[in-house]
Order: sequence, then structure tokens, then C-alpha cells
Amino acid sequence: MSSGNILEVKDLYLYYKTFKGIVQAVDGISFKIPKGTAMGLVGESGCGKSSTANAIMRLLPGNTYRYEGSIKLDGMELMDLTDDEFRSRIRWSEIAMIFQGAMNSLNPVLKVGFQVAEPLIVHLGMPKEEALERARDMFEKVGLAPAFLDRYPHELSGGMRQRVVIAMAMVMNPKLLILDEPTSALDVSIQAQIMNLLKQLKKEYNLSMIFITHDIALASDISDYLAVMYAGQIVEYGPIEEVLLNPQHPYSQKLLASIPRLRVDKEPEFLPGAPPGLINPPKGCRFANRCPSRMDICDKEDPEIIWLNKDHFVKCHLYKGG
Amino acid sequence: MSYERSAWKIYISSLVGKAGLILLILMVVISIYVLATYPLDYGIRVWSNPKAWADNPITVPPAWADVFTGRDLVTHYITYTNKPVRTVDIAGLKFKVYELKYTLSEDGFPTSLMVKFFNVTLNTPGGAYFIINFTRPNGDEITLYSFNVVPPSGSELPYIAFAGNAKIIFLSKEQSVGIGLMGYMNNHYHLNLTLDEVNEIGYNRLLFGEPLVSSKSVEWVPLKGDYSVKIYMAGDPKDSVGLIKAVFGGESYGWMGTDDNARDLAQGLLFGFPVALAIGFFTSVVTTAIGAALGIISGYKGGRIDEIIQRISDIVYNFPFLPVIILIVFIISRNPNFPRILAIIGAIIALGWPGLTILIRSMVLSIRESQFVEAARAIGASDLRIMFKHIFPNLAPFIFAQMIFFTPSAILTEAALSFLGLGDPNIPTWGQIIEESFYAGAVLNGWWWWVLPPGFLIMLAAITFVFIALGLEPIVNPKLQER
Repeated sequence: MSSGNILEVKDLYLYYKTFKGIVQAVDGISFKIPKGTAMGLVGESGCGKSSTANAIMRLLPGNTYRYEGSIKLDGMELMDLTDDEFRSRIRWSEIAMIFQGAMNSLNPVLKVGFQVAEPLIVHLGMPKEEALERARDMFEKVGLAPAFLDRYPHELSGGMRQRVVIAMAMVMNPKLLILDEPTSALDVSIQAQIMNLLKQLKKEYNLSMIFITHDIALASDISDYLAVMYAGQIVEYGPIEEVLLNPQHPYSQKLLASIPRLRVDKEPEFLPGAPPGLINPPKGCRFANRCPSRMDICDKEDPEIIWLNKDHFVKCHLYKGG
Repeated sequence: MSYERSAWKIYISSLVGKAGLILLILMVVISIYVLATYPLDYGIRVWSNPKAWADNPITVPPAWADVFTGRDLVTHYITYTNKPVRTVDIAGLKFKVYELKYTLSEDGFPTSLMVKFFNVTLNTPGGAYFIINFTRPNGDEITLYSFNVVPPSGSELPYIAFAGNAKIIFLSKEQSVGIGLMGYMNNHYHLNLTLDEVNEIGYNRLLFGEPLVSSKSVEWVPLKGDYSVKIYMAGDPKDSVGLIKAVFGGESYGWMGTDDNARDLAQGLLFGFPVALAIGFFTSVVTTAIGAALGIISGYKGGRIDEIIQRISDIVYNFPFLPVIILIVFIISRNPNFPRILAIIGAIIALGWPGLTILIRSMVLSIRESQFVEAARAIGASDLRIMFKHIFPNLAPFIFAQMIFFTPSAILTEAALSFLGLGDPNIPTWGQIIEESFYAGAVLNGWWWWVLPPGFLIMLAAITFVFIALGLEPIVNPKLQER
């Protein structure tokens, strides 16, 4: 065991090439996830949350321009693996993923039981019957009756579909689970059920998770760490209590202040302006044009990562020099 | 209710779907019957073999054609025997008598009379002597023909004559018959005819008719009743005849009439069913498989592979279909050992796939962007698995409908090629029957039974599949479903 971290990401870049220019979707992010913990990854739409997930899963679109950095899974450098090795050894067997919108990640013309069993057939070459037997067990784990194995996705409700997708992700018993907005399409009561299921699985399997969402409240429900992402970069990372109760980066502060609160007579603040485009972003700090504590240096230099303590960093000029 | 059950229900609820299915079942049943009862090399062994049709009348309409003529057409009649009915003594010679009976009940003259001898066994070097007599309904017996059969000198006895080739006597053409009839008419009807006049009237009218004499002319009318051909054989008592056959030429034949080679068109048309189905089925399955597979690969892989497949599709798609296909078939069939039917099927496949490839590619382009494909990639499925386990099932109903849509065009193309003379001469098809009728001038001669039925069957086969495809349309394209 290396450092007790299931995942260590360092200086990860993922750029796309488009007609308009290079999109710097993931721009040198770093974070780590200790074993058995969950990291929430929050940020506005289009800030690179899903691209981060794709970069870790190495699900790269054809127009990928730059893909580099270091991703260590349990001490093993994943970037050294070839695509085939990654596909056969890591993807789904070590790192599984739940995509945004469960309905869309299920093939409408295949039975859900088969879809849950498929990773076993693909990776372990398991006979179909045996794989379906495992899928049946997994169905029970996620609270679905075995009768649903033979159903098609359109015959299930949204919550059931989400459970199917979770079963699909868990069937290979992965070390790390990436959840990309797993509950965004569900109503609140179902959302709560799914969150409880995820928490239970996390505890039962000592599962590590990356929980991608724009709903900070939801992230706080399950996460031990929180990473705040802005325009392709992680601007603040730390234990969830510290980040939520005592946010350091001006963006984190503004983001948290914009959440409406019950029984507090304060109007939610709103953050003026819009995040910069990821094609040719500004030279200095990317948040500079919206930052209330903007300084001259912010327009000129990209801020460094500054560690406030051993678990908490912030990427801001305000904290330079202690 | 499962997807399959509801799809079936939608299909069977449409009228065209039902009609198409019934027609298809009919075609399949006929094909099975043909395959079970016909030899597989039927085309070579029977259809293209003149010997097989020697007993048939030439270009006569089907038996039911008297609906149009307004009078009963004489039915073609063949009878045979190998047992003498009795033995008679004439001038000290013992004759065995073979009798072949015939009843004329229609208002017409049989068009010909032919007698065939097979396997005559001779036990003495002197051979045997045959006399053919003809009995009319009134009991009059006319001697028409006589001949000697002698074993070749030095041959071993018993000698079997006419073993390979039958002795064929066209009684309605032999001059001795004309002379015999001339004498009979003179004796019986006091009618003086010259041999030229007899030839002009036609022996068949004299054999099977009687004169209606008026002041100015003689009219011949059919004489209904029982006739018989009697064959007297004199020779060694052990001499025998293997088979004697008499063919009374009819004015109509069978279900579908005959062509100018005396072939029974019903057989050719029936054999066309399995051939058409096989061509349609095989061609459409292979074409659709190639077209769909290339379309899926092209759409999913993208990039250079996509570019190559699409450009080739564009080029092939824009070939003028018929001229190029004629060229291909012509070149391939320069090799006479290569079955031409396979050349035709191959050419249709080679030119038929691009349309589907272009269509399927455009559908795959949208499917490959969907999240379930990304999810499949994420679980580590290979490209091949994603293409054929995940994307293909989404397209399967559409591809299936396309396959059925393609079937009639394959059948029609084969018919067109056959009509142009590029068909496989060893396998009778509907297109070929039309071609032969065309070159024999069937249209000009009014031999409708030779032209219309094959055309009708080609149309029927095409319509069957169009109906099925129309019935499938609401399943493939749910927007058309009635709510």
C-alpha cells in the first residue's frame, strides 16, 4: 500500500481540438482520494467536471488534443498503460462509472439483466448463465427484484433504472466509482433512496467515489472531501467540513453564498458575470474578472496551488506567502 | 406484453401484412412441393432435354382455354400397352394383336396421331412383321401402315430392337396412311379424292372426321366416338413388344399449355417458384448483411475507414445498374463451368449494397453519440462488440424491413437479365420463359398462355414482398402506428 490513497491525480490535462480552437477542458488539475472516502466534485456547468471523469476513465473523444499528467490508482501509474491494457485491466474492473442520466446509458433494445452481466462476459469471459446469476445477486444488493432481469429499460421507472445502472457499475466490484450527476434526473424522494443506497454500498464495500454534481448539498451528503472546479481547474480542495464551513477561495465563498437557505433571512448572493470560455482563457487567474478581491497580479500570473494544511489547498494569489 | 408479441400484433392487424403473409406461405408451400417432387437437375435433365417432351403437342393452350374458344378443345391423350389382347390367324400366319383405345368426345380433330414402339424382342433371324390398323367408331378397320423388323445379320438372338431409340411412326404424316385413307373414303363415302387433296385436308381430319357433302363443297366434321389403333405382330411366338405408345395430339394441354418445344409450361412455371424465392432470399440476405455491416463500421469507426467506405459506396451507387450488371454477368459467364445463376446473384449483390450502407451509416452516426454506446465503451466492450451487440439491435427492425424491401428488386432484376438472354440456361425461371416466348414470336402469334402467366407470377412474387414490407412499416416506423 503506497500512501493510503486510492487515487492520486497530478497535473492532469485534457484539451480538445475544435474548429474554433483548442478547448482547455481539464487544465492541470491535481487531487487525491484516500481509500474508502468519497470526493465531491462541484462546479458550474461546462467547467470540466465530466471531462475530468472521462480523463480518469480514459474515455477520450476523437478530437482529443492533449492528454497528459499522472493518474495513480492505488500507487499504479495508469498513464503508462496502453489503451488495450487500460481497457482490459482498469476500466470497469477497477474504476467504474455511472453516467449522467440513467435512461440514456441503458441500451433500449437489450434486457437490463444482460446489460448488468455484460462487463463480466467482456472482462472475465464468463458464460452468460453464470454472469446472469451474478447480475441477479447484484440486483438484490441494489434492491431490485430478480424478475426485473428480463425487462427492457423502458419498462422500468427512473429510480429502478438508476439502480440498474448502479448494479452495472458494481458488478465487477471496482475500487473506485465515478458518479457523474447520478441523481440529476430523479425526483427528490427517489434521489434520497438512491443516495442511501450509495452510502450503504460505500460502507459495505469500503468503496471510494468521485461524486460529480452541481448540487453542493447533495455532494455534502456523501462526500468526505470536496473539490471545487472552475473553468477547467480545481480552485479549492479539502475535507468537506473545512471547505463548506470555511471556504478560502473567493469562488468557493461566492458559490456557497449563492445557495438559498431555509429560515435565513438573507437573500442568496449572486455571482455577476460568466465563466471565461475554455478556448483561449485569460492569461492570469481565470476567476479574476469576477473576483471581488481581485489584485493586479491576478491578471498577469496564473496562481499556484497553495497548501493551507496537508489536506487542503487553494489556487489563489491571496494566500501567497502564507 | 413483450416487444415481439406486440410487433406481431401490429403486423397481423394490417390488411396488406396479412395478404403478403398468405401469398408468401403459398409460395413457400409450392416451392417445397416442387423441391420434393422435381429432381434438382430438372433444368438440364428435363426442361432443356427435347426427348422429355417428344410426346407433347407444340404451342397449345391450357385445357381450360375452351372458356375463351367457346367449344371443347380436344384433350391431348397418350395411351400405351405391352400385352396383346388376342391372337388371330390370317392367311396361315399367327398374329398377336395389341389394341390402343381412344374416345373422341370433343368438337374437334386430334391434331396428330403417332405410334411408338419400344424394345421389340426378336427370336429368329427372320424378324417380325407389323401391321397398324385403325378402327373408326362405326367399326370400319383401315390398314394404315406396315413394316418389317429384322435383326442385323450376325447379331445374337434374341435381339432387342428399338432399345435406345423408339421406332416412331407419325401416322398423320405417313404417305401410306394417306393412300389408305383415300381408298377408305372412296369405298365408304363414295368420295373421290386425289392424294394432293388428301394432303391438303390433313390426315387427322380424315382419320377422325367424316365428310358433309353439299352441292358445292365438302366439309369435314369431327366424328365422335370410340376409336382404336390395332397393331398386328407376326413372327416367332416368343417375340414380344416392350411397350407400344399411341399419342393422340390434342388442341390443349395441361394446366398451362405448352411452348414451341412442346414443353409443359406448368412445370417450368412451378419450378420458377423455388428459384425466384431462392434468388430473392439469398440475394437480399447477403446484400443486406454486407450493406448493414459496412454501414455500421463506417458510421461507428469514422475517420479514414468511413471515408473509404463512403467513397466506394458513392461510386458503386452511381453505376448505371443494368448496363454494369449485364457487363459483369457477361464477363463471369465467359467461363462456361461457372453457374450463371451465381454470377447473376453475385452481380446483384455487388451493386446492391451501397444504398443501405449510406442509410445505415447516417443512423449509426446518431446512435454512436448516445450515452449507452459511451457506457458500453466504458465497461470495456470492444469496438466489434459495441457495433454488433449494442448498435445493431437498435437497427435490426429497420434492417430486416430493408431486407424484405430488397427481395422483390432482386427477383425483378433476375427476370430482367433473363429476359435479356443472360439467364442461366440450365435453370428455368419466369424471366427465361418470357424471353423464349418473345423470341418465338408468342406475342404476334397470340400464344398468350406462354407470355402472361410468367409475367403475372413475377409480379405476384414482387407484390408479396412489397405487401410484407408495407405491413412491417408501422413496426419499423412507429409514427405510422394507428392509435
